[in-house]
Amino acid sequence: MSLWVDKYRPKDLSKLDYHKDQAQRLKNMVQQGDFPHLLVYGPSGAGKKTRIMCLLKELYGNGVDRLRMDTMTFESASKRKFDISTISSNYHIEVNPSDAGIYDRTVVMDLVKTTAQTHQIDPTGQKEFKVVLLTNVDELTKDAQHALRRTMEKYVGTCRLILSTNSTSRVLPAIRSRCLGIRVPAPTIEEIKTILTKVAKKEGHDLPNELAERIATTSERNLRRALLMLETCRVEQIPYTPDQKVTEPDWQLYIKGIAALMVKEQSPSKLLELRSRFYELLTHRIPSDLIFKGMLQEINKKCDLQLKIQVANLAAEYEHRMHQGSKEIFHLEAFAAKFMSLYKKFMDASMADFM
Amino acid sequence: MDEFPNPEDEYELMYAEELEVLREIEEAEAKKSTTQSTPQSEINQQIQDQKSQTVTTGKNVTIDSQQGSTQLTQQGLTNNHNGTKDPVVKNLFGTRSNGLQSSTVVNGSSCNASTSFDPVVKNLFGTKSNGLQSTTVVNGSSSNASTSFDNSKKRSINQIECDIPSTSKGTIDLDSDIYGSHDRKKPRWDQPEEVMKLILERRNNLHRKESKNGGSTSRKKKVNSITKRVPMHNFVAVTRYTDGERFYVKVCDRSMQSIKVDRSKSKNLFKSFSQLKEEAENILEKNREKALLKPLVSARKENSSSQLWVDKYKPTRYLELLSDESVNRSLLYWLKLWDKVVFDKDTIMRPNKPAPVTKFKNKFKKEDLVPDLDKNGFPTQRIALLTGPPGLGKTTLAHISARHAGYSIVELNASDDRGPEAFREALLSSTQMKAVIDEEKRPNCLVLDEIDGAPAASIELLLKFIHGKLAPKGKKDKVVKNNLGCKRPIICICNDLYAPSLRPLRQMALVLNVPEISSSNLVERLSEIARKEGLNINGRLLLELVHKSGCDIRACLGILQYTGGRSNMLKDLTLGLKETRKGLFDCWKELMRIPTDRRGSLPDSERAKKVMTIVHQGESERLAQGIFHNYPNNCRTKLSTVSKSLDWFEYYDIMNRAVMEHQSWMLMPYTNFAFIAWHLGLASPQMPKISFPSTTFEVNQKIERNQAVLSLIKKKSKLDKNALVTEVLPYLPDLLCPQLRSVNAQLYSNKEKEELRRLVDTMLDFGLTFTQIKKPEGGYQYYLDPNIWDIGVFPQCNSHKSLSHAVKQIVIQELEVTRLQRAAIASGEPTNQNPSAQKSIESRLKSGASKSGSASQASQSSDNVPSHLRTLNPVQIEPVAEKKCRNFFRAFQQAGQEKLKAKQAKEKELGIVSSKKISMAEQEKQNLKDKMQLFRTDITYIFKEGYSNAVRRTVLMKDLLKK
Repeated sequence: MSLWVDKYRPKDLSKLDYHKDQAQRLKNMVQQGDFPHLLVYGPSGAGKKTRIMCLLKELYGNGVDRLRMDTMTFESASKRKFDISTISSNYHIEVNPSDAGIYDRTVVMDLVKTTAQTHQIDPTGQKEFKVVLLTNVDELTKDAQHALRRTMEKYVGTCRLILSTNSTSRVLPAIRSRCLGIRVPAPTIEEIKTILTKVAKKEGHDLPNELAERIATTSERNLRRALLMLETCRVEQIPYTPDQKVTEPDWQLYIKGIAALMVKEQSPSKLLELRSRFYELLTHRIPSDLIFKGMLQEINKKCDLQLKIQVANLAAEYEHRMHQGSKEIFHLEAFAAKFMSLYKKFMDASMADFM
Repeated sequence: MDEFPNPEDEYELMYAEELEVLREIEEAEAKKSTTQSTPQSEINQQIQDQKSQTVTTGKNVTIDSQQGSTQLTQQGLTNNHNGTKDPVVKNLFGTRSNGLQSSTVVNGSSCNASTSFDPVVKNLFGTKSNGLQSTTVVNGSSSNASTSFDNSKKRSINQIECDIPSTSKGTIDLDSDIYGSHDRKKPRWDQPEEVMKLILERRNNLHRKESKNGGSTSRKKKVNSITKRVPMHNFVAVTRYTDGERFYVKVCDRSMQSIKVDRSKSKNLFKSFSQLKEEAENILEKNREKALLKPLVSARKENSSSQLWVDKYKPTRYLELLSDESVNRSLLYWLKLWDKVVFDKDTIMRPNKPAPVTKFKNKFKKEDLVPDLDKNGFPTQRIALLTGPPGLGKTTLAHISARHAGYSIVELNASDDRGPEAFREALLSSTQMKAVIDEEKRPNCLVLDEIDGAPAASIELLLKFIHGKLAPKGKKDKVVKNNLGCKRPIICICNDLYAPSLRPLRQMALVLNVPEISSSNLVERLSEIARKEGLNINGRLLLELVHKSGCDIRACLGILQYTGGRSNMLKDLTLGLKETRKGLFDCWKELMRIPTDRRGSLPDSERAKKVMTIVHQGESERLAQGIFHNYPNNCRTKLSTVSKSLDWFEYYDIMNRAVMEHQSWMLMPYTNFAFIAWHLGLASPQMPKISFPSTTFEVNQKIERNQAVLSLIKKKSKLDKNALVTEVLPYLPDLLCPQLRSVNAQLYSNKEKEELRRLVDTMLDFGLTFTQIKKPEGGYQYYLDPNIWDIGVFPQCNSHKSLSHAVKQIVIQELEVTRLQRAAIASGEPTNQNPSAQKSIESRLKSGASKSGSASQASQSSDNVPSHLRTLNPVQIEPVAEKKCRNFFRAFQQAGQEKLKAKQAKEKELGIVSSKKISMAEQEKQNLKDKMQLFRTDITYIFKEGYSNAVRRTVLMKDLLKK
């Protein structure tokens, strides 16, 4: 792997750069020979996946690195067939069940069952269980999570589940209680800075402290993003200079643009422009909760405190409804309209006071 | 036409005996009549003059001549008449002198003229001294005529009228009417307006007559059939004995009744005149009573019988058709065009005079569709396609027209199996055969009803069949040109002319659009039916009904029958008919607009009701999309109401998801309430501008495409989708644009080489490559494939650089090389290890510096040496050549080995025992020898650029890259 993100990804628990005590605990746990189901949670770019892979390597040895892509075919209850791509080694299988949309229940049930029902032929020198790694568990439907509950207990002898998620809020308590929660917090600015300097050094470049600081802040403590930013900076200009431009991802700028539009003018016809922008974001496959988040962050910068509370409330409400529904555009536009009417009312009121 | 035997012969065969008897009696009559001739004829003349008040004889002659030309002349019946005419008419006149109802008699005689061989009529005239003719007798004679025509398959206008079985009531009057109409029907196909006028007039008369229920007045017209001048039509000449003046009695025919009945009745015609008169009067009286009773009887029947009114009051004759006259006529004309093929009779061609045609086009635009014959005598369009909304009587029109034109009908509709095989079977059986059991041997006319529902394959089959491309099974026709195609008319009927399966048919067929009938006509017919059924319903209500149903005859009759015409029922009736035809756009418009009446906008409850009726038609998904798509351009309301309405969109979405996810369809109706909210919140008083919600579709397509791109990249990079979208892909376009000069790769500095290598590696990691796509304005451009720019880059955000074309070319080259190397590594080649492969690129990039004897290097370094100086040094290539030669001449080696083996086998046979080891050693030695021999010969191997078939072998990439 040639990107720095992948190139300098630690492959071993002992080589992790931060949360070292946690790494040590994980190591101990594995050395005990057994562990319960895990629920690894933390913001994206904090190193969940890295940790999990390190753990698996500790568990099974180098064989875990030999990954292959497979496509599994499932059939839903309504006889509709669909494919899910999986990444697997001899010892584990990684699936993102939310790829299946509302049919994720079938995926979870079938996959865990098929994996769990096959025992290791030769248990000597190997663990007697396989690992099923489910990513983005928070995007699972309630049905699928319920389906998971029983299977988790039933096949615990032959199969361990590692669930990876950004937030536990949308994971059922029943699931949470069946797993050992491992929180992977985002690295601090300082930690990111040291990692960035280390990587730059390994590549033979000198990284000014200010640039490292700026990259770390712009990346919002997302290590993956920080490393990508560092590499982008290198492509643009080498050697590094302290006042070098640090690029934000396009989609974030785009969301900022939307927020600015909403604050600038409030009218039904403006909604049409907003809609085309929302569509643009959606067609780029930006997750819609990130759109909400981005909008709220930007709007909050431009609102009074009183309004901030209301808007935050609204955003939460509309995002929740969006997860209940299926057509994001309705909810995004509804939120935009609601905010605009609220903002207009607020502005009119304050103008009246002013007059 | 061999199918239909010569009518003349047939006739004579059938009635040979009767003819003889007839002749005898006629002779006797002739003797009798001579005695009283003079005074009678004078009286006759007077009577005749009186009767022909309305129409002068002169007029009669001309009109008759017209008719005669088309009518019966070919039948060859006149010869037979010649033998009998004098006495018959003589007798007739004799009858008159007895002071009988002359009109009836004349009528009878005229009928007789055409059918004079019939013993019945014979008898009738034989008893002329008694002289009375009852109506039934007239009927009988006329029926005779028509049956004889049926046998002969000749169709005159008269006969066509007669073909259609008339209702029992008022037969004579109607017949006489029709007869009269055709008397005047001089203008034929060349003057359609007049014909149409006439028909419409007749139709009106018909209605009037039926309502009047009487009609003895019309009988007078029958005198027309006797003229003094020689008519052009079929006639019987009569000479008056007194002054030798000749009269001409027209030959005509009447409606049908079975012959047997007549016979039985005519048996007792040998009665006294008074008796007969009494009887006749009785019969007339009875008929009148029957006619009066009729409505009551049918009204009583209606309750008991399950027959639909639609069927009960189906038009049975051409004149009763309600549909547009021009369409009726077009279809009929088209059917008549088939006469040449089907009946071997000349068709009445529309004269090609320019004047009437232009006039015609002005008045009836549809008429210019009507085709003419092609060179084979077929109509140019061999199939007719009737289209129009349901309930206008397309099927009825097809049936009646076909019957009218003398066909029997084979119908194939949606209830039949219409798969290609079954279809073929039906086509062949119905058009190449004919019914033999049936009494009347009419050719078939195929009516394909509801053809828009038929599978496309069947329609293709039909088209093939029409043009004779369908290989017929069984015996072929006797006609010289075998494959002229279908020889019977086929009428197709459909509702939706633009159904995709009908596309090929549409081009071939004579498309007749059946328009909506006029509401006044329909109301008239409905009220007539209502009267017959004993319903008390006023015209206004009927008109309302007609409007509600959109002039759908079937729907109207159905409603009338089942509501029993109660006015309150009619009011409550919400006919879904009109609404179902509404398009999506109309629905959207209605939803987006505040409905108004005279007092201003309607109250909300009314509006809500309206919305619900629209939504209940279904397609709520589409409707919702349309509203969502169109509201920003049309709504004039405040933002707060808009946002409230948008909340309802959320509600709608959540409900829909719940329905789809859990299949809980019971939630479905609740989604409809959202429409009310949208309507109340978003509708505006102006007419909305609606466009089709195509964005949703476009967005979905884009999403799908990007999804595919993502899963491709994911497959290669094994990264999570979200991480890819939000973090990696936004930076990837920048990472893929290192600063590289667009010069030859050999001239790159070390740093640039490093960049290039990194770029190539990254691209390979993500499974990216450049593909060349032709630009619309010409020239080529390289695009990333899969195109991550679609996902990572947004408009009007960061500026992104792009590599120049030349650099991309270098990258592609390098990419291919690296990919091959990696593939080689992946396939597990022990010789090439990862670092060495990488080294090899580097070494290759340092092109000029590195010099080695490998072939690949040679080709690389060739840039420095002018190509014409390039030769292969025999000494230098020897090691390489050795390799190549060995591979190249493996065949020779194998041959040698085989030889060796054969030798060994021989040795074995000879009993020489040799150990395996020795033989192996020998073999090796032999190999070496062979090799050396090859090298010793003066074979030089000159590489020639270009392609040659002479030498081919597979060269692995690793061979080229290996040092």
